[in-house]
Amino acid sequence: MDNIFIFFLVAITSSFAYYATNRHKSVTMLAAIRSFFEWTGTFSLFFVANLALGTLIVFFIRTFTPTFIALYALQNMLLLFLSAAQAFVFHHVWKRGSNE
Amino acid sequence: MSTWERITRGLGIFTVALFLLVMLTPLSNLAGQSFAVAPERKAADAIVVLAAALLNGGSLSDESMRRTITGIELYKQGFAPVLVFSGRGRRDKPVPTEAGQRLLMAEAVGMPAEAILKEETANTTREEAGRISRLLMHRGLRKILLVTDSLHLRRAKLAFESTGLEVFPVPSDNFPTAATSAWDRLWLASRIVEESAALSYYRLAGYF
Repeated sequence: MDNIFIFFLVAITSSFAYYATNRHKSVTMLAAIRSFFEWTGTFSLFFVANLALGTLIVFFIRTFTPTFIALYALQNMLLLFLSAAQAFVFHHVWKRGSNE
Repeated sequence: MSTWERITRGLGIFTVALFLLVMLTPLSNLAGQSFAVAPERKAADAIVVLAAALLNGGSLSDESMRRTITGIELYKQGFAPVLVFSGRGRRDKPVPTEAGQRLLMAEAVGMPAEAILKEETANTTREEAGRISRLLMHRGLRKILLVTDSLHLRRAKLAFESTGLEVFPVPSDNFPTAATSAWDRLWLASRIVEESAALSYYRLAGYF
């Protein structure tokens, strides 16, 4: 029930946004949704790459130095947000690059 | 449309579908239930409460508190005469330790200090298993009730058994059934992935 309420809220605000900007639409909704999925895919790649690199660095430090770093250090919301930001920027750059 | 766009779009659709499946269906609950270890509350020589985390300022984290309370409960119900608290200090502030804070809490609810042992140096589950096992075997104690969170219990049980102790697992929570909101289910799924990876690593490294 809680989830249905959240979907309902998003549907309402999306409908308002769609009708408010309808006359300016230079980008179709379908193209925007495609772009959203591309960004999500890029985000997944960056997130997995960041996690993998982080794991390697933690094991390297544990093996070759007396310092102990827990793998839980990677359990940080910041990694999620920064991976999303990375994906947004690079998706934009790559998209522009392929259009030129 | 370039191949790269096709790949990222496909991956994006898969990611969104996976997120929705995890958050809106009981998939992670079912996976959690099969991953968790069934509790075995039996008479033992000692109760071992594994470390969770200490917050900045020295308070026990929620998880640490849950495990501590479960350990005290087991002691008060007469399952074992000895209680072992594990947990070091924070990296930025080594004192107080988590085990020390747990000891204070146990004393505050009327537990005798002489029934409590502390392990304050281990960094990992494997180190906890090795050090606590030595501590107990030195006193001739071989059967333990092992208290930790339900998803950590599988790996912890195997690590302690590999040191020669007989282990009866006791989870400090019921996360797999308690997680019903989208956020909780997402967190549960991430913990299952984390613990599965750690379990595979322990097996590959030959820790058990």
